[in-house]
Amino acid sequence: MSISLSVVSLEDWTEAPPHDGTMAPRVTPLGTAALGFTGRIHAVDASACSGVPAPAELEHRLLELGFVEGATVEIRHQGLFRRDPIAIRVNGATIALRRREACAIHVHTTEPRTPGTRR
Amino acid sequence: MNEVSAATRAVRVALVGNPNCGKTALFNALTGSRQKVANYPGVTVERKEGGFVTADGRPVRLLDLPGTYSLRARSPDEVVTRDAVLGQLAGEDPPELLLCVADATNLRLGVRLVLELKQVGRPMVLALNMADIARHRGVDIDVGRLSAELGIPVVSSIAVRRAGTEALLAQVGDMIRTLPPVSGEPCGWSAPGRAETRALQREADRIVAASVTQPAQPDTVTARIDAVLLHPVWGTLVLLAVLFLMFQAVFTWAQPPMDAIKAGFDRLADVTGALLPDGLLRSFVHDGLIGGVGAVLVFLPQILILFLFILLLEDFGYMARAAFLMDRIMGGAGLHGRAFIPLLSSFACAIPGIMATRVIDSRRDRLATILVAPLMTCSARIPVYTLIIGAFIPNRAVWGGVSEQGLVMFGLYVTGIVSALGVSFLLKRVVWRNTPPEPFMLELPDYKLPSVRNIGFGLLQRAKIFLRRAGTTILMMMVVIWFLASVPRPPEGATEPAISYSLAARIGHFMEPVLAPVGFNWQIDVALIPGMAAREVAVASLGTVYSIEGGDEEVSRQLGQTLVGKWSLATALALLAWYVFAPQCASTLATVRRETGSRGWAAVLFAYMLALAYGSAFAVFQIASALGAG
Repeated sequence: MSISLSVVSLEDWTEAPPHDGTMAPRVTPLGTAALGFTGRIHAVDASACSGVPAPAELEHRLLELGFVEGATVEIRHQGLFRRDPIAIRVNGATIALRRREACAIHVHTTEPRTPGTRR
Repeated sequence: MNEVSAATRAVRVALVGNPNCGKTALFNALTGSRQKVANYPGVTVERKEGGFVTADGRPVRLLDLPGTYSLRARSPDEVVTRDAVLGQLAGEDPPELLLCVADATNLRLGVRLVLELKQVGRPMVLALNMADIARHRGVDIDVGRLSAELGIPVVSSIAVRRAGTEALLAQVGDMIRTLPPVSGEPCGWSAPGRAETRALQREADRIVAASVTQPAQPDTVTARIDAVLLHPVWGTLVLLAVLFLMFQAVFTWAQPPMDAIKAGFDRLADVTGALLPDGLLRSFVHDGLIGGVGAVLVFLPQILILFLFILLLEDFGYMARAAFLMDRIMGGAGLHGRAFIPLLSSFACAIPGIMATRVIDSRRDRLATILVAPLMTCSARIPVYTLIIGAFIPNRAVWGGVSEQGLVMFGLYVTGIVSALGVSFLLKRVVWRNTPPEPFMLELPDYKLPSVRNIGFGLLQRAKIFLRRAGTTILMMMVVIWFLASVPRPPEGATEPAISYSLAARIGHFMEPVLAPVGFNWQIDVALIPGMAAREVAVASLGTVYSIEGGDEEVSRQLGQTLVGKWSLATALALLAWYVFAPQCASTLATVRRETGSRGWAAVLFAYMLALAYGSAFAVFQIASALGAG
């Protein structure tokens, strides 16, 4: 069930026009990204997420774990069932989230990490 | 005069930091063995306090607070940290100095906490812990710059190395000399909103970027280990192997020390038996004190080995990974991934397991875990299982060297796990049908080598807690049981065993009609009552009830033979089924009451386990009887 939901929202995001300017990369929810995805946080906004905790609280907890706008993220690992949960490297720390919550983190793609770059 | 008392009075310092920043290791390093573990009144959050003396000779009382990312507390643990820091905790004076700890290898979350703590307005010092690992990785921290940016003293520390805390101690000593008095005015902290948290994190990131030079080549050790340990397939297999090794160790490594403890108590019983004249006093010391407490102390090695594994895995950084791997699997049964650690601890004893649920933020997930934790086969059930299986199940190989006895034992464990998953599934689907699941958000700390000293301190604490329990609750219950089984004394010329005239027999006969349908006779009914104190005491009580004399070892063997003569196979199997659920453990119920803050949940736990125990024992007894085992 959650998979079909994710696919729908992924399409929504990819078909949406670029956020600002013509050269801006596409913004997608981190929760729908594939293993190995690297990118930068465009916005942390849980207003589209329903459930527990309330969107404002979910957003606040993500902020407290270091998911702030501008931080670099990389999906390092994912679980066996439904590719869930995911382990995300965010500015030097690894945080585990379920894909459902990770959908509150909106990211844009950056070039895959090359050796020697800062994580 | 005031100056004299001010110079000798202990200074209150609170230790605050993120989870996984090595705070406990630093606490151990600073205070050594001068630690006291207790509970905060009203909550079961452990209160850890220790002491040390500054170079000037000022005594310091160091309070170790639960790790947190923010003072905006959510879990009971974090509430304690917030209230202690703000000086709002009942019965606790506000700290005069905050000792903040941050992980030097990953400063951004720690620095944000420092920025938030600055609003409290107390004097602060920041310890950059694990400075050795940071240096080894090539992370270069400009301590002077960081201190200037934060406006507080900053010192590097290495908690796990001797002399690694000297600079920190000197700094704390300096600050204590010039501490301002605690003012009565309200502090400047108020719960930050999202915008403030964003701003604080941006500021923290700016400060870290300005004062820390990251290495050109990032450290990849954790990533490489995780490539295997968090691999969907290999990681799961490794987790299963770790669990298998752990149980193997609990049952095989623990055997020699357990035998030694048993032998020690047998010898003690022989000595007192020879010294004391036959009669009430000897019976009290022999059967009540030594027999009862000895029967419980025997489990110390098993509990310590289990905790050794848990502490090692925790210190290494694996526990969070186990929760990650198990989240989906446990989520299917309505449990949170974080429930994995408490449930694992419950195989030793449900009490530390239930206390470990404090790490779960959501009350609903915490309750579900607390309610099913006692279904995990705790080590106190082992003697009951061993006794009955040894007496009634033939010791023959089934296939490939697997014995029928071992298979039954394994089956009992599996039954416990399956029913725990079933109960939590029902809770999720029936009781909390309309509540969506809580999020799973967990930091996976970088791996590090476990510190021998930390593990040692942890084990010592566990041993102390267990021994205190054996010396108080269990000892008291044994006295009560001995009293019930011995009073009143049989009349002159009595033909029946003495116990038949006792209060215990009356209670047993009273319960008989209720428990007859599950195949229990009055002797079993009597033994179930002391099992309230601790399940394993039921074995000793059966021994007392069946009036068998002799050492512990002998009682167990002879008791088995006696039982074969007195019970049908159906009764024995029914008792095994009963003990899978066995609701009667007063300490567990007391812990649940304290932990949930209500008698209601303890009552729910007792009622549902009693119903399951009765139901399954009834089914097993009736089916086995119908099949001709009655």
